[in-house]
Amino acid sequence: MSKMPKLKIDNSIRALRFEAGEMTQAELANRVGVTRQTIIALEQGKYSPSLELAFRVAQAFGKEIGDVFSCSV
Amino acid sequence: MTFSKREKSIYIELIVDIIAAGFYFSFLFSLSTPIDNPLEALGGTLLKITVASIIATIILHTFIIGADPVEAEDERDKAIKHRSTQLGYYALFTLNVIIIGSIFIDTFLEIPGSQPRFVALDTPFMIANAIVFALIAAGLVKGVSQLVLYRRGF
Repeated sequence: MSKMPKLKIDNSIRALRFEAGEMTQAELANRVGVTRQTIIALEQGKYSPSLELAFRVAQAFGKEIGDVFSCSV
Repeated sequence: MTFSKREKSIYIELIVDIIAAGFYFSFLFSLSTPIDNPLEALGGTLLKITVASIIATIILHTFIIGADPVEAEDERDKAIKHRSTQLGYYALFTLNVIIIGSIFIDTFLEIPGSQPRFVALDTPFMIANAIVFALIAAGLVKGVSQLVLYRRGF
């Protein structure tokens, strides 16, 4: 199996929080069932979420997963 | 720089472990050798250090973190814990291979002209302490790698 290049997963959580009436990180964390530190890490691109968490974040904003997360090589 | 309660908790445990291990091993090296009766030599030192470290951890938790409990683990906390436990296991494995290798060399091989080592693993007491050291070192690797992973990202 050939070694695949590492994907960089970007997200627009910060912008979507702003659009959603300046939802706080703590509110979003509460909605998706993680700690505020995990939301901070997601926004800073320091953590790639599981598929389940990615779906939950998208649902919290009423968006499709592709509208929140994108990837680049 | 702000730290989460979980990071503070790891820092507290790490610092207490380092101090407790420092006390224990400095006491151990201060004993005169050979140690005929290890239990008598150690006395209640090990028990005192254990009790003191538990009390210190509780006090530091109360003053630094406060009365609120550390938040429940989420998937990122669990992923970081798994990775750091893996790194701690590698450290424990490596140190145990060194300890076992050292015992085998001492037991089965006589290397001509070899110098006596700083710590000779020639008694069950010394072997037990070498294993204690390996356990503490593995715990430190786990704690430090957790802190690095929280800061650097995972």
